[in-house]
Amino acid sequence: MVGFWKRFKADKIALIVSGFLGIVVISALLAPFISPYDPTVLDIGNKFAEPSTAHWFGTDQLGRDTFSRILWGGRVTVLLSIVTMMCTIGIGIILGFTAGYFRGWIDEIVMRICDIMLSFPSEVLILTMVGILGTGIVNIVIATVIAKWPWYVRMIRSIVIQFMEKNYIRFAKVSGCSIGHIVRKHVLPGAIGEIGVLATLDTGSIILNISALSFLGLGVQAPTAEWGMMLNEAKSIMITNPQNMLPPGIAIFLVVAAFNFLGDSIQEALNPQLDKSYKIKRQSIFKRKKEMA
Amino acid sequence: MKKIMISVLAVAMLFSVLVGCTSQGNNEESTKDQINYASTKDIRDINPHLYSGEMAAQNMVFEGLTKNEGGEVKPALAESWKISDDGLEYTFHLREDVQFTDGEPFNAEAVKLNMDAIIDNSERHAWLDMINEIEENVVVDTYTFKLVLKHPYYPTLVELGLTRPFRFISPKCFVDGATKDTVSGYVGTGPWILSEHKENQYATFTRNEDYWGDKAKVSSVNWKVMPDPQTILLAMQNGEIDLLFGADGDQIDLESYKKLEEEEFYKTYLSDPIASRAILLNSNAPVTKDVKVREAIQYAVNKDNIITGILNNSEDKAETLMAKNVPYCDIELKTFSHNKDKANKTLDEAGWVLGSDGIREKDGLKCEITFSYNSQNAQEGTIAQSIQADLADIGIKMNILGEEKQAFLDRQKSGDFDLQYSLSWGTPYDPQSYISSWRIPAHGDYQAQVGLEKKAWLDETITKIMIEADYTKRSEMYEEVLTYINDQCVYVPISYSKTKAVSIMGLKGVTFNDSQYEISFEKMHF
Repeated sequence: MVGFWKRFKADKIALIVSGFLGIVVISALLAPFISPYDPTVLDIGNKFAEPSTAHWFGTDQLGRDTFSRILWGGRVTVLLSIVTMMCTIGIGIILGFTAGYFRGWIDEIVMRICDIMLSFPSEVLILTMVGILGTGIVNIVIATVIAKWPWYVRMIRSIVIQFMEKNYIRFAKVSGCSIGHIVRKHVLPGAIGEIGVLATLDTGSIILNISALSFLGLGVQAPTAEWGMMLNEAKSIMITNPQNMLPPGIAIFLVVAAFNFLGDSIQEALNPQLDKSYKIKRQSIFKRKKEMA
Repeated sequence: MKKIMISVLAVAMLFSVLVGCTSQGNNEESTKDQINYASTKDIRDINPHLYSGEMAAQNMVFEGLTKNEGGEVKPALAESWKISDDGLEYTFHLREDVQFTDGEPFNAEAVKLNMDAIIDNSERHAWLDMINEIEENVVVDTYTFKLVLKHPYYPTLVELGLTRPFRFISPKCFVDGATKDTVSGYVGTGPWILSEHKENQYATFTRNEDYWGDKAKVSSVNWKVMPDPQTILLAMQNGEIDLLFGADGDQIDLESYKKLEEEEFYKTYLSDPIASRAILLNSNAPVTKDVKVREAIQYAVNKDNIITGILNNSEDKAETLMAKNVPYCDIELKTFSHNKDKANKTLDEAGWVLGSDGIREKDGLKCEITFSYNSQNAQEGTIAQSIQADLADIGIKMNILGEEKQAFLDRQKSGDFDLQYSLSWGTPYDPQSYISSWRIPAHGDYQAQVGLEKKAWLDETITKIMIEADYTKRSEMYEEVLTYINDQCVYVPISYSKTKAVSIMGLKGVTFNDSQYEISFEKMHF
């Protein structure tokens, strides 16, 4: 673990993006205290104001302060994405460890359920779930968790199986250590790093997911600020007032990019033996992600 | 070297394509004989006896016995008419020089066939009382048609001139002697012929060269479907379309309208106030069934904010549901001007107590309501947000639900809403046809009123109005109905809407018809 921090600190990109994400999360948490205006208070006489010292990012079609809305929107977008990620990872860890540790029929059942779930395209599954549950941000989180957990179970299970093959764990088993002890002392510390990488990389895609659903009008309802919804509102005035699209668009772009960079840096710091060929591969993954975004 | 050669070639080719495009564009400009019109909606099934088609398209192809022009009933396919003294018999003398565009003659026989076909589907036309009032359609001679009514139904001539359903389609297009399910073609007598229709892409109308009246000035109209208003705007700026025309905000929003108004390449048109924009408050929903809540909402909504801030002053503020210049509507009604204190007081008196979360409560019921609107219409969403803020001020929590159009309409029909947007149909429907439709359960108006104590009386009186021959008595009854609805606060009047049109500079003769749903392409030229 010491080596990890040393390598992580040496990586400039890692420091910049984790600093940036830190600021984003803190400002999202502190939005009620630091935002200059109430994000839902209208001032119609002052709509479409240009950026100024009073309104850093200008105002929207109802005269609401865009900067305040970005701050409050970050609360919804970023914090809920993190919550979603934690729920998904939680389910993934529990089921993945169970399946990977015990194997046998438990493994069969869990994996077959995962197979079934994975056979649906996740976007379609999410849309269907939201259709059934009704619109609303909580429902989006539930739908996203339901659609994503099988993938995590599968990934975490394979990580656990890797460890179970190792000699020191076999030794621990033979010498009669309890399941809890083995998982806590031997498997979890080894696996947690890789799970962290998985989680960080995917938080970006969850942010995109939640924003996309809000953009479609399925997520938060007015007047709550949310980045995807702000984009949606700006869309209908795209031609007359294009500047309204920029703040939420750039915010989503930067945060998602930062999470992706962070995930990569963590992975690199965890596995310094990853050679150049990996780095090249990583870059190509990046390109793909960008294209998807 | 090879690479450079290729890129040079590519650039050269691209350039030639671009040049080709512009020169083509210039040619078009000078010999323009075709109007490109864009709409968010396809023309769909324009059977004049049904309601699924676009009215503007139906109006291009089909005509009625009368037409409404400048607030008056004018002759169309009927040259003249005579009304019997008891108001029960209307004798129409038809034009003798008219034929359908498939060569079929237009005569009393064709009129009777059409009228019978319409009555055959009377359930579908229930919103229009006229259908129930027709006793008999009689062919007197080749060019004389007599309409016999059960009662002296006073708006007969106006309603015969509506865009639908009393318009005439060639008897050859009937399927099994009827038109209520489907027709085999769209052949009318109007100034335009529908020559090509590709669903959800475009429709082409060509000029009817044998038209009996003033022929259209350009040879064709291209109706292009562009589902997104922003796309239409872009297309207009690219010169792909010449005209934008629409009453409700889903064709062009006011911000875009304002922007085009400032640009010198476009000409913008604004009609006289034509219809009423209002918010329906459902008297049959848990919270809004309390008349005091409805009254408080009337006081709370800041109309000036909506008119100046959102509608850019392009519409006139409405104090009453119907404008004073609408027939029978020049009456003294109680008005509710914006007054937050009064709103709060009204709610306090009615026993709605402010809770710790800033939302009022009465007998355990939270004062929480939902405003549903068609999410296609961004402007409605913006207005809703403004109202949301107004209501939050007086302790009413309003949720906004933007839905897909069909879901919105279903909700309207079933009455499953608290607040909804309502646009009256404007002239020539107001007030008679619009008020008449209040009695039809498939309309949001009916659903919103069904919780009223005197709803049965209201419906009865409306029925009586329509067959009251005496003008004074009729006016009195209108006054009773409108006063009751006004005092019950079922509608929050917002503004009197105007139809908006934007054309390129070269297009001339853009005018508005009486009905906001019709577009008079035949008068336009370059």
